[in-house]
Amino acid sequence: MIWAKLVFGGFGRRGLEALVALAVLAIATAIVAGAMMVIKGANDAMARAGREDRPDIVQVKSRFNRAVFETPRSGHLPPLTLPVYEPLIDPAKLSAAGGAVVARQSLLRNVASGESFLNLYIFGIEPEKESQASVFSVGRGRFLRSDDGPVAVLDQASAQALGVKLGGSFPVRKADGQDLSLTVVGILDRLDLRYPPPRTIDAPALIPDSNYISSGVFVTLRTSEEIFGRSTLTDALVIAPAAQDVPPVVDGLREAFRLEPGVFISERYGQFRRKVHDFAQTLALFAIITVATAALAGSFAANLLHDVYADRRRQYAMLLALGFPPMQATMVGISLGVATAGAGALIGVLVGVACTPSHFAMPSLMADLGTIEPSFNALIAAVLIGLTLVAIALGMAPTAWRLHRRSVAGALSQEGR
Amino acid sequence: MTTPSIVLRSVTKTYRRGERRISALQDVSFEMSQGELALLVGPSGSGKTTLLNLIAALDRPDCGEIIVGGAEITGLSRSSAALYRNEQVGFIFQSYNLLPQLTALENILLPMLPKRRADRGRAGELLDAVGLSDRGSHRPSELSGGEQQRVAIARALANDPAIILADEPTGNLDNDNACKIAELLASACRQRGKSLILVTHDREMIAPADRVFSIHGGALIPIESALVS
Repeated sequence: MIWAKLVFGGFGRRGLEALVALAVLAIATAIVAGAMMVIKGANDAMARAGREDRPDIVQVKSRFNRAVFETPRSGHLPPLTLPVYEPLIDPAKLSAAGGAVVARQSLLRNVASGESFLNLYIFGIEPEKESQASVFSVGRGRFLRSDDGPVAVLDQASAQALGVKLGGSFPVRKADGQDLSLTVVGILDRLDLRYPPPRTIDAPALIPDSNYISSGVFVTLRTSEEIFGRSTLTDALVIAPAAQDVPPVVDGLREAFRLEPGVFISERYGQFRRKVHDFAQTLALFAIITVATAALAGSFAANLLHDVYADRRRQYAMLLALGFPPMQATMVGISLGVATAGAGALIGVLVGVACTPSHFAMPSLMADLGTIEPSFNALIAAVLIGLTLVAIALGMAPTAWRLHRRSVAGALSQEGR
Repeated sequence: MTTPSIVLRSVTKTYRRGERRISALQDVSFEMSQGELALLVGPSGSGKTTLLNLIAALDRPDCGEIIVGGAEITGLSRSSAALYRNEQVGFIFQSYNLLPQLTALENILLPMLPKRRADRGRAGELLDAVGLSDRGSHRPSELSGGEQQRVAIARALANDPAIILADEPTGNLDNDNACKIAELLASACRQRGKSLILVTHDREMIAPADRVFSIHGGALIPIESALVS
């Protein structure tokens, strides 16, 4: 009880200043905590957008041929081999620009299914490389391997439409008119194909209303070449070493395909950079306001604490005169600051966390980066603790310095005036 | 012959006030035995408080030796000086220096806190000894000047120190109270065998002392007690 009275008792009129310091720190901490949570949420949103948008990926695609989709839905016409894109891309030219090449052959096949025809998208891929750009969630069986023969992995919707199960097989007509039997080794329950071809024909789909293809049969590039009868690609992805390397990669690809009018190169980096730039500027402004708030409020609170400490210097000098070890007398002072500023910071954090919205979207173009979900983490806690400690240290330093620099007698006589 | 409990040898202390150097003590030497009551008289600014501060290790001399209980104290670190003050010195200030947020009893307990042995029984006995047994729960602001100084005397005796240093303990009191406090202090020290150095500028308080010193311009001059009285 005496220790508590030593730390907190005898404030007198300075008690109000201690309370104001507590309130200022609470408000400052709430603002800083809220702002940092928003900044963290925004950074997370940018990172998420970066992961989802993959601005480091450049798409190379061939001319799209709409005529090939005039395919009968039913009847007794023979199956046709129809490309989604025309196969105009020479794989050798892709690697000239640098970056990792993810080659594809995207085909549309009209296959017999029971008494009717079924439109199926068939993708020839390089399994390991494609997994770097697209997401394949295997529900049953396994995914493709690069050394696989005539096997296929397909999504649930395509499997259901074909009436095949894991381990079953179905025929696909090759370019030479022969059927190739593909054995199902895996069934996907989710598929997120990076840069999918447009969906222009009725076919099984995991996302029914999507404008892009959301389902298909995946085979190795070697198998698709056997079906297609060609080694040229319909489309491909080139993954730049880093997002900022995209412009030179694009330049290299344009140079490589400058004589191919049917090959188009598109990238998202430019648009992504503009979005991120606006976003980063907004966040920078937010961060500046946060730092300014922290500095102003922190120094104001420190000044108030300084007044409180200055008023108690004589008490600390008395404790030293009565034989309290310097460390013990210092701890009495520190306890006052930690309790006052700590309570303010804790209240501020709780208010900040409670009042910060759980999620919100930024306006205009920045909304494309997705929802911002503010969150609290160890870094924010460390910054707030740092802010509190700095305020305490600044408030206490002049008093500690004067008590340390002078003799106890000097401190007693000086503070007694 | 008794062993001297306090020995000062050629102690000098100078303060700086801006460019000026003020000599508070000049080559002061004296010895004092355990249980002796010494009176230090002199006008304001003569160096009385400085001398007490040096003996209490509240300050350091520029040169010279101060030996208390056989140990040199001028070279003590801040922590060791604090321990020395806590264990061997009881200091009574003119302005009492009681902590306003603590009760009289808690103020007496205060010197016991560094060693974590707050003995409320002993504090009560000391309060009783200074005649304030019924005022233990009162804060300093609820006590008169005389009562506050009694609490300060009890606080000085709290850790049973060998030396009591009283810096004009009656300076803020009226004559009646001043005499009572001086008698109380002297009797308390005599009963407990403490050495007492009492600083005053009031020559009427000389009576109970064994030895009397006069201090003028930083120089200490011994005066025979009987001669003065």
